Amino acid sequence: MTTDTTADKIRCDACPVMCYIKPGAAGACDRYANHDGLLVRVDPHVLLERTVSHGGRLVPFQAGGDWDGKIVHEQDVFVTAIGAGTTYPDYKPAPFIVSSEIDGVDMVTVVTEGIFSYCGVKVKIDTDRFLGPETATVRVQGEAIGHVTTGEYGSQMLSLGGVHHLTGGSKKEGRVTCDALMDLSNCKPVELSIDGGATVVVQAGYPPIVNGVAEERMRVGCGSATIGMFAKQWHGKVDEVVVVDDHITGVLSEHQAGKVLDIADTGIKMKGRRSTPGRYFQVAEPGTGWGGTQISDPLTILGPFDPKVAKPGTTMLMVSTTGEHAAYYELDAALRPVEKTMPAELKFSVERIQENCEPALCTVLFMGGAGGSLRAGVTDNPVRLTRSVKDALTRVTSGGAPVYVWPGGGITFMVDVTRLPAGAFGYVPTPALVAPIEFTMRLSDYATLGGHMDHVRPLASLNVNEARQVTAPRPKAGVPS
Amino acid sequence: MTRKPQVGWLKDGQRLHLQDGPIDLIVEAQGSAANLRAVYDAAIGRFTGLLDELCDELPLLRTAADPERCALHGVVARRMHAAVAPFARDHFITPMAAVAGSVAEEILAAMAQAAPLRRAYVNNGGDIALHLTDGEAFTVGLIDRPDRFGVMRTAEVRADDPTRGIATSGYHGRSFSLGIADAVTVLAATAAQADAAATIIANAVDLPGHPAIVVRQTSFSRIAILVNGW
Repeated sequence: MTTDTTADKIRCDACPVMCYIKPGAAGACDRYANHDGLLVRVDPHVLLERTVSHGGRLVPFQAGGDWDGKIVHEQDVFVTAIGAGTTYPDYKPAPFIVSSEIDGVDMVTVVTEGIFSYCGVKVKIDTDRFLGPETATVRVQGEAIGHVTTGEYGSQMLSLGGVHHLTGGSKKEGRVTCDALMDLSNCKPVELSIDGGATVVVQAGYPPIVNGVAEERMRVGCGSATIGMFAKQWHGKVDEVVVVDDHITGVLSEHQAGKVLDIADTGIKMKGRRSTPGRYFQVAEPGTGWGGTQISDPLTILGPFDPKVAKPGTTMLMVSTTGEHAAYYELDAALRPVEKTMPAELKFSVERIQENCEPALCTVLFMGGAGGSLRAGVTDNPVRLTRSVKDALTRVTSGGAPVYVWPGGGITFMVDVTRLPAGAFGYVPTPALVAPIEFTMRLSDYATLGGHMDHVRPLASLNVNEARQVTAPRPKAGVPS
Repeated sequence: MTRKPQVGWLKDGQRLHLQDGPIDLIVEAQGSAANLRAVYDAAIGRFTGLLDELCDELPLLRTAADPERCALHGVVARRMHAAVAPFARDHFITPMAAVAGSVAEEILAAMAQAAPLRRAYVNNGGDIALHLTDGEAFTVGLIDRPDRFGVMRTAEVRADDPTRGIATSGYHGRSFSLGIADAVTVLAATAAQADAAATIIANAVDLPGHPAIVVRQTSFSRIAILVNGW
């Protein structure tokens, strides 16, 4: 592909139309675009990835060899938006014309539209490892871009971005935040360091890398839950099991699950705060060791065995909630646990725990308030517009992906960034993120919106032709973009 | 050497996809197996080099159409001109306004000439040429919500209807409509005529300067929003 550049436009020679393409714009075909002065092929990249990720077959873009005048590729899938049968409204946006059979209809024509919006990302990191205390600042290149928020089951949550970091801090803070949000939203890896905690590399759809170590699996459950799930499988094969967990450490002989199986007391003495029988809080400080604690030697969470109850030769399995750490002990004559080679059947149970742990992933939800930029300059009664979204008269999608519209005021939505086409997110130097968002509605539904226009000064329809020419945002005085 | 178009089947194996530059065609025909083969070959044969034919006359095709005379040579180019000429006296319109429909018609004509068919269509990005024999019909639908499964409206075109062309023009997409309508769909005797008419009508659906219409430019698109009961 060669290009003939005139000023900042590119001349595309992909076909005889020979479009001049402005930066950020696409040619007549909507396939080739001017991306930072480079001619890029737009849609096949996206669809190729989608096709591959869906296990689809590919055909080369330009099939080699001379065409014999016959129909070729009969057995192959042609990679195109139209062929994909998917809804793929491009964020450019959306000359989305599809031909597929729906509802017994032979041909269909689709109309969509799009605008831009920004805000932040919520990151769910499947790990028990301690990433940092709640509310701790999350940094990129030393700049604060967000914070640690409440933990969820088997996962640590981060809340990143938001208008405070984007525009409320230093210029560098805003720029770094914007870059990090865009990279995370575009499914690229970003290294985050958490005050008083870990360094973690986050990439949507991939395992987190905590302090340089890739996480493999989520825990199967908390320590207590693990006891409950596997008690029967341990029964008769080992006298005591301790499932080490930074949240709730479980002890088989004391746990209700052990009691039901008539498992005898072993004289074990746990450190930490007992919650209910066989369930202990705070056996150790959080960390990146066993079961999300800081410990590397699990025996440090045990006190001396009770000599009135414990017997020499008592066997004990200690295991973390992911099965990643495990050790086997027997009490010696002095009732001290001594590590021994783990019997095969206990090894099997540890593997069973591992098997039941789901792969650990980072997931990134982009969250944005679409109401502001959409409504600004539109109406002095914005709730009418919002309401049409709430009433499902107006359907919101992001790059064609389904979104969750948060109830309450405004049009605040969340979308799984892995469901969007690659490179769907951009930025403006404000700094703010540019996210694809489509509002799809019937004109008749807009027609019922109502509202007063006293304070609305339309961007004069006189400028319509001019507006059609430009590709950059046209900020209106007094209206935040 | 003529540049080869992209040729392939959509994944249903029923519809032929032809693409060259900005032209995307979805083609489907129904008839005997032997005839279908000949018909699809004819579609590919006619499509090959068609874009180059148009581009040879591109400057003139992009110039306002003369309502009286046609200086174009290519058969498709002349069809484009003929479709827009009736509007050219009262409106600014170039033959390009009918390019999609005219191309669809040309391919369909080549197919129909190759062998007898029960029915066939050539869908050029929503501008559609239809071939129908006695008793046959097509149902055509418009989707307003691409995120949902289902169509907003449908129209049935039967063999005894005069309609053989359907085109949609509107605010969105590649049709460069000057108006504010989301979509204007026209059924006409030919695809080229439907294409030209849809463009004219979509352009006319506008209320310049009206306070109830706000046009905004975003980084990716221009959006028009109707408010205040309109």
